[in-house]
Amino acid sequence: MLKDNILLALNELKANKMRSLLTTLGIVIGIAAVIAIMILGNGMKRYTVDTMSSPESRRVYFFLIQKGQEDINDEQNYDDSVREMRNSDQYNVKTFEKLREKFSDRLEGIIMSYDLGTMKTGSNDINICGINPCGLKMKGTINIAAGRSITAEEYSSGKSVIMLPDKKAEMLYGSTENALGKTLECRKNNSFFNYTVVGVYHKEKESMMQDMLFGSTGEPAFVPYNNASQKPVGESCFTDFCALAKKDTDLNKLEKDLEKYINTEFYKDNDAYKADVLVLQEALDSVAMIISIMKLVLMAIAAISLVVGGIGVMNIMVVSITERTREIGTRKALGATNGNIRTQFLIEAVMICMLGCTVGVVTGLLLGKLMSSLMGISGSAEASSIVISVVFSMLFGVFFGYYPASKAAKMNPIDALRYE
Amino acid sequence: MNSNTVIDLKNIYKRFYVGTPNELEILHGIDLTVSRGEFVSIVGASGSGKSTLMNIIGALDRPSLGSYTLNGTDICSAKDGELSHIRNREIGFVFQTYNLIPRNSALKNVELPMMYARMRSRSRKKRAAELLEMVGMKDRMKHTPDELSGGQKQRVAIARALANEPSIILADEPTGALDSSTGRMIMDLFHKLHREKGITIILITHSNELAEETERVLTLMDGRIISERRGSRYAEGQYSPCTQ
Ligand SMILES: Nc1ncnc2c1ncn2[C@@H]1O[C@H](COP(=O)(O)OP(=O)(O)OP(=O)(O)O)[C@@H](O)[C@H]1O
Ligand SMILES: [Mg+2]
Repeated sequence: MLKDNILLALNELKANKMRSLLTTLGIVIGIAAVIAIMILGNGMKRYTVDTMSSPESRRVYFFLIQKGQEDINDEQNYDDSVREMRNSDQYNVKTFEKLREKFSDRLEGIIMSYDLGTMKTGSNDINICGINPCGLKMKGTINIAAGRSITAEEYSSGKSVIMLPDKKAEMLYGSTENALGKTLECRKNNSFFNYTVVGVYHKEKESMMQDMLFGSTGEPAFVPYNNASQKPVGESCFTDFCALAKKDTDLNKLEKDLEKYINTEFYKDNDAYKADVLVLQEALDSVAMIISIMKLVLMAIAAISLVVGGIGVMNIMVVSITERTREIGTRKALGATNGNIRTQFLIEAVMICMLGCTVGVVTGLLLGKLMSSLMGISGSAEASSIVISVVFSMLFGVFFGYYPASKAAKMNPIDALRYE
Repeated sequence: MNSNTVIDLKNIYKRFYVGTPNELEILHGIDLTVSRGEFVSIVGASGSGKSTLMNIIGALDRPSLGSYTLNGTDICSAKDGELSHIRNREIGFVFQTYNLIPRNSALKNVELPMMYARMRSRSRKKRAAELLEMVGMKDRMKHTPDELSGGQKQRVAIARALANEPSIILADEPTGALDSSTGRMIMDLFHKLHREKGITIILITHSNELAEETERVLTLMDGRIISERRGSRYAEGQYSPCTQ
């Protein structure tokens, strides 16, 4: 009997292919959204865990703000009448040394990065960036493809050595190996720079998420910071800089401790300026916020389309039952009980919902995969979410099919047979 | 009541409520007894209440007043479920408009009453095929109603009516939509069922010719049976035997 009813329902669905498909559209969209949400959610969770352990997430920002301001984003309390910032107000090597000394247990180092911009080498352009070892860690996942990395000695003495990205090396010298030991002559405006190529690196592709959070870092050639900057670290002062915290550090506590330390050590007697320290946590929080808003929107779409879809199924069942009134009368004349009729139409409604669910699951899987690959996260659907979708859509069919099916079951056989 | 009595209608009234106070009385006290194996025809003008009476006999509708016993069961006090059971087991309907289920093959249509009788799939397929063979539709078993002619559809409908070996066949103008030669063929099929299987048949028809071939002809007028006689050509056997 169940098998007969299923075959019967399939027969009806097949006979009204277009109608069945259109009817299920709401359910298709609803289920697809649910599945896509689950895939994205999974991917996000995994991505956040990954990000939390990436060096970028351990970046600590140091800014200088007016004494009246709460933090760097506080524009309300920004006072135009405060005197301009002098060199003596700014951070300098003394700050760095003190930080290295006092926070050696929690800070890995100061991040130094100085962009030299685009230079000419022969007829080619090349972007050159001065960095220190901590700075290099901020430039994405970098692997040495040939040669070696810049050594600690080269970094501190500011030697004219350069590390090329693999694509550039191939373009300039034909192969990565070929580039090693060569002298790269660069020109910017009327200044000339000569660098010895010591290594070639390959950089892993950045994901969209990475981009959103940290911005694209591109693939410049790297030279020691002390070589790139007109003045080595020791002679410069900075309005802002970054440091890198050690792994497994409580960033929020570090932020407070650093701020307190710098402000008592260096800015207690400053009449206008003080330090503001910031950790990435907030950036991550805002991304999590965007993701949860996205999830909420998708959830709302899912809920709305499921309800609309359910009403659509109900509607099409009412239409179908009206169209098939004579059939119902005939079935009753042949001995079908009210229960038989109700079961038949309930199963039909459930089958419509399950058809929608199947299409929805497939669409959702594709959509979720597509969206997560666009965002550069690897999401996957759990089998349980598919099972839940199927069960849910069956319940949905029963819920929205019950009224029309009961209507059919309660038809008076004579009235049904006489229906024109 | 004779033990041979299949249908026993006493003082049957049927009223329709077309909104108070317009109460429409269609049947005004019908008394009718049909014995096992009888072939009865009902004739009468359009609107005289033939179909209304037939629906009551077929347990599709309940009388407003009166008593009806079918094979010993009191139909008036029976519950919906019992009526379904009676329609399924005791009665085979044949309609003027065939009423085959669209998009279902001839075989599936014939299987239907057996499905509702909870017969197993294999045995009901076998029986459906046998019945279709009997009505000469063996080579059209897989066809859906829209691929069949009127006469073929009516033969499938008759096979379906016979599915659960009912004691009564109720046919409401079964030849009404067919040309005379196809109608003849359907009528021959009824004669064959009556003669060979001893099935009780009640036939509504507008054709006096066909009515005269039956054992008993009832004439209905304005909801009353005004005459009851033996079909003039029944005994003479002037109808030709079923030829296929
Ligand atoms: N459900 C109903 N509601 C109101 N009136 C009805 C209903 N069913 C039947 N009637 C009326 O009962 C009368 C008899 O109808 P019925 O169908 O029994 O006639 P009939 O003798 O079968 O006619 P025909 O030969 O044309 O089929 C008609 O006047 C019809 O309008
Ligand atoms: Mg009629």
